[in-house]
Amino acid sequence: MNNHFDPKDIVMDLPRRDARDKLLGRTKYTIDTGGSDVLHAVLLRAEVPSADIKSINFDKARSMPGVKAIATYEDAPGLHGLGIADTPIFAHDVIRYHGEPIAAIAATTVEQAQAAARAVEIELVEQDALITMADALADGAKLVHPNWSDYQILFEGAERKGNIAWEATVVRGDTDEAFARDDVEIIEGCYSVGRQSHVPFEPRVAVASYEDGRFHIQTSTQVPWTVRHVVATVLGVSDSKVRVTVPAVGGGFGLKFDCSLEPYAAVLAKKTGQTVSIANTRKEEQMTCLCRENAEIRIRSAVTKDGEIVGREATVLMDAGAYGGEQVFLSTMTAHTLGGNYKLGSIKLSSLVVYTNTPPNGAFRACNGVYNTFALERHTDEICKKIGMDPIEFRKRNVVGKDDLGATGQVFEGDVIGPMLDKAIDKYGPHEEKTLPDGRLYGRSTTVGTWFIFVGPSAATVNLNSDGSATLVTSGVEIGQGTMVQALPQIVAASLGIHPDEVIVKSADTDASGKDLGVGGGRTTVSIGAASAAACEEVRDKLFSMASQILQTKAEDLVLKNGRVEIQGKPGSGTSLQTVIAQCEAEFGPVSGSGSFTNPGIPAMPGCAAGHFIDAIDIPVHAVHDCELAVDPDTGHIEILSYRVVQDVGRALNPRAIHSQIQGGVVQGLGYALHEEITINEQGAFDQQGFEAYRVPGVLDVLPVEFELHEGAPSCGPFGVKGAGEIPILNVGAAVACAVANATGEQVSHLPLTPPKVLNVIDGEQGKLDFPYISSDWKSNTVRFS
Amino acid sequence: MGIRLKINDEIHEFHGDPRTSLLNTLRDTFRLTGSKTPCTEGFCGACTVFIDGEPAVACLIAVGTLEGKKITTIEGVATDGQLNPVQQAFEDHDVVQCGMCFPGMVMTITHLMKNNPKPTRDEVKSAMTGNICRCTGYERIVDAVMSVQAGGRVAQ
Amino acid sequence: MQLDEFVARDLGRVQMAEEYQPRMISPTSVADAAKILSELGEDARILAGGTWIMRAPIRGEVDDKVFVSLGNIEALNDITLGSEKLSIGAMATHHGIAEALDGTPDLNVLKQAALASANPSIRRMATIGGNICTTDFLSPDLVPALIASDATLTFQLDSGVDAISIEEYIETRAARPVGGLLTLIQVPRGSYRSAHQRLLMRQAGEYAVANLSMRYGVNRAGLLEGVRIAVGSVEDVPKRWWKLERALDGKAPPELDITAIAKEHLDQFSGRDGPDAPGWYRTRVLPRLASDAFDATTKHVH
Repeated sequence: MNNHFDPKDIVMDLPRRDARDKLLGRTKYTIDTGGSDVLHAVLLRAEVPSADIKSINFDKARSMPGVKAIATYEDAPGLHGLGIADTPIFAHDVIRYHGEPIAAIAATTVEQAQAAARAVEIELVEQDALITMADALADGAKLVHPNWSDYQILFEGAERKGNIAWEATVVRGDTDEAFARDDVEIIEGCYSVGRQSHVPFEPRVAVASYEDGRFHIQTSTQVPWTVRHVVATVLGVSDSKVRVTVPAVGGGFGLKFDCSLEPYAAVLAKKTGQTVSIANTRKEEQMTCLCRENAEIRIRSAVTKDGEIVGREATVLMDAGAYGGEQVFLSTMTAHTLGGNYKLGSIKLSSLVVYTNTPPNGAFRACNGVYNTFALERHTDEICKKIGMDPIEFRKRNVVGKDDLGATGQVFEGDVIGPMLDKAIDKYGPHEEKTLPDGRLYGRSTTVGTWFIFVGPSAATVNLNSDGSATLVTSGVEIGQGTMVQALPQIVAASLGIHPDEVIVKSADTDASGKDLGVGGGRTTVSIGAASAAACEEVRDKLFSMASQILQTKAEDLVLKNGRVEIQGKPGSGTSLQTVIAQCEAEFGPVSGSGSFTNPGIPAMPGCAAGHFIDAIDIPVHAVHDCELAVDPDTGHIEILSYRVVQDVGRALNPRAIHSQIQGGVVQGLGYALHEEITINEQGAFDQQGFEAYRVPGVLDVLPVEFELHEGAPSCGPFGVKGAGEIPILNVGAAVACAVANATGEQVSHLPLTPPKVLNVIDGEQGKLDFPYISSDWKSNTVRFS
Repeated sequence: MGIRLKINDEIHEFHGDPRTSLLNTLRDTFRLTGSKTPCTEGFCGACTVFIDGEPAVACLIAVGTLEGKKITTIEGVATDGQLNPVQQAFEDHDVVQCGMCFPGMVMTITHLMKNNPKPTRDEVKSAMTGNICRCTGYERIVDAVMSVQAGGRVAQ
Repeated sequence: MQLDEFVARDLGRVQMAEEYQPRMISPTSVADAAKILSELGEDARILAGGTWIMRAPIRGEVDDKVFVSLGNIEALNDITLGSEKLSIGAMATHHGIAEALDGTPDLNVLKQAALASANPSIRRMATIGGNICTTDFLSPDLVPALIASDATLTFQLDSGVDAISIEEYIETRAARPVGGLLTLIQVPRGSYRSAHQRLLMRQAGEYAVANLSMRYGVNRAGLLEGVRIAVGSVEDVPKRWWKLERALDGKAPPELDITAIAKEHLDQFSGRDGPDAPGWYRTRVLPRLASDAFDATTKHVH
């Protein structure tokens, strides 16, 4: 009984309902919780990168004014992690990074808590610190985790060894044979990138209370169910003893895709019997940010003179920081990004997640896709230079399309990148040499990218109210991207034939809705949208069943429109939704439906991938970016002259909202490409500690991004949708780097391209980048094959 | 012995440390949480208030210097819950995302347009150099501001 | 007068001296301020615009010092633009200074420095006095502009008044005794041309990685004379680029390749490494800054 509605009914530029209160300053984010109701907690953090803790004395601290409770390792001894449970929430007897929490102190005011933290007496024996991955991989390097082999494995299949927390490898075909051919050129290059910090305007913050034997945590998070699970794990209680609710979130970008401050607030709430609030200062937020990791890449390819890539090998070193965290999971994404975009005759990839004595890294909007795309597109342009082929022509010949194999052997469903590339060339014109009158160097690039939609479990319930409105209950969180207040109510509304303003969207509460992987990775519209659509289908079935009785018409001939149940083709016929709902309620009770969604699972080629969490991507998403820029050869300054995008959206449910994501995402990418630099000193601490030295783009650093939305590519997402929030950032590093290479005629191997780094490029320095500890012999870099 | 503060035309008495920042005073003591704390060092502009009608960052003002001065916060900009023309333009163009930078944006642009009702795009951008946004990439905000002058003056 | 008597008078109430511990004192005259600062010595922090002192906790400076606020001393806000000299009270803000200057070429250097610093809100709060006296702030814009303008500073001490050239003050300030109060900055006027350039990493909203102020006269023969060039943010302390000044004095403007000449005299500087930029970059951009500043001296600032 599935008379579907027209998905086109979903599409509109619905304005967001939360804008007004945000503009008035009325919205209460978690950081706005305060007053005399809550205690304030701070973390005592390590100020050295590596040390043994000999003793800690809290006597003085405990006796200071206003201090209510102190929590340490003993209160929360559990280890957590992704793939490996290697992460404590408090340092126990060892400090592994500058900023690592040692204790949490709750007091009446935050100043009192800070004063108490300063009064704690610690005796440390400092140890040698491994600040770089080179340090960590050197022969005889000490171990960041001497007990690495004792850690509980949460996901089987990866190699691990010493300071290599995780290894993910791909082997498809015979690259040795490919490289040995006499009709190929071999092009090899090294690339490196620094960390990027999210800088959400609301820092990580949590407020916890302990009520009726359960923890209630209100937090600024993207992942309420992960918070629930990790808090329970580290505190040694069952998951059901933790409830997580989420108000409006002031930005996330992936930083909040992990549990962070919540366990500290929770344990102190239990100890004090009061509500406890804990927030990172901006300095703490910057210095312990779960950054997009720094990475080092060696990539080599065997390419025929006709531009066929017969073999490709690459090794990627990913800096995890002191604990595995997101990087363990993200090692999976090399295959689909660095190993993506192009048809490959044979491929070997390894991603090594490396422990260092630095703050742990994490997930940030398109994660390692951003730097893998940079390295891949730079490498691609270097290939074109070597074989003398036009970079656009090369891409046209080689981008994957229908029935082509991905790195792990998955079979792609449609021609997507090819047509998008054609669209870009058509709309934005061919590349032309240009001379700028002021002596600056002109460059342009066209790059392509592949990312994925992070599908996975989501659940939704739709409750119909007697007045004809509907309540959507999910664990989705509104972090600013708009999906919770736009795409989701649009889907429910179109499905039920009402206006989106009639759809109440319940804010996330793990007591109210089913399990959800979280908000990020472009998954909200797809996974939560699919679960919501499924819930609506159940509601529609109930409504049509009842209405068919009331109207004496077959259910297949009925439609939901304008708050009515009507006979198809006869507008104004039928009866009101309220009437049908009332009848349902009278006969069998309130009307609701529930739905769930998880990744369908696309097969990869068996045996290709090892240590991967995702062997094949269910929903690939692509981009083509075109960038023109001018380089000042005296100062190294770069001005972006134009930036144009073709984005693979499947179906655009709210085109204006997608425009906002593209503008915002590209600008964040310009920050990554040009301005945002993190340097780590000998103390294992970031030199950039706040807005002064960590430079995010300002209003004069940006320009309007032109874009074209590419619809219709295959997607198992609801109504053919793909998420649009992440991919805008994916190609920016690549686009800028390739344009700078074209402008200067020099090799570009590193991001960010700050003005001093651009002068390095002009001086020919970046072409010399080489990693002696990443061998050209691919096997010898791996744990599995060496 | 308190400090008398005139905030949004209301008198408040503050009895804490006069060296406390106005931002912390607004948020912690008077629970006016519309001014935000992203950077606490004067760079992001999200705590922008008016002191005697002139924009300033509340994070860097010691509250003890404000005796006798008129303080206007984001909570005092709209009258009776009616958005001012700048706020209305931002709503109409659907430019808000996470929302944390917007109180500061509204204050800065409201002040700009009070003194310059028809700014050029460059003038708008110059006025915004102390207002950082991490979500939007700015241009749609500027588009919204440019639409205000077509519609009429900005209220005080 | 004892401190506690002053405070009691300030508040209009009589307090027992032992009970009262003021955290902020707001004198209404320079004389009162000087007295208080002299009494409090190291226990006082001068509160001018607040843009430096209010960030002390971020710098990890945790102390309980008394703030002596200068905000109620009317005389310190004056800006008087005369034909012979410009007089600026120490509490004048960047914004106030920029507004007061009318675009005549000799003061362009100061106007441009005041107009472009930091961001609009900070410019309305940060004072010229703070810019000059904050030893730990490595990137002031007004200081090199004032050096290039041959400014004189007046300090009020409890014992009397002291005048000193800004150049000498900047060189010696870290070693000066605590307790003096900068009250007045005076800039001699003349038929000079001037400009201030700053180099950032982004387009706006940050401290300069390097800045350069230039002022010169042109004699009847059309040759450069009295060239003064001050460079800031490149080293820990702003200083004059006397080597370049010497190389330009007496030259004819039209055919000058400032960039090339400046490159020959870069050895006077040793750039400092910082979280914002490496030292070699600060010196590498100086010739271009000098050239841009020279070009700017021929343009008006509105």
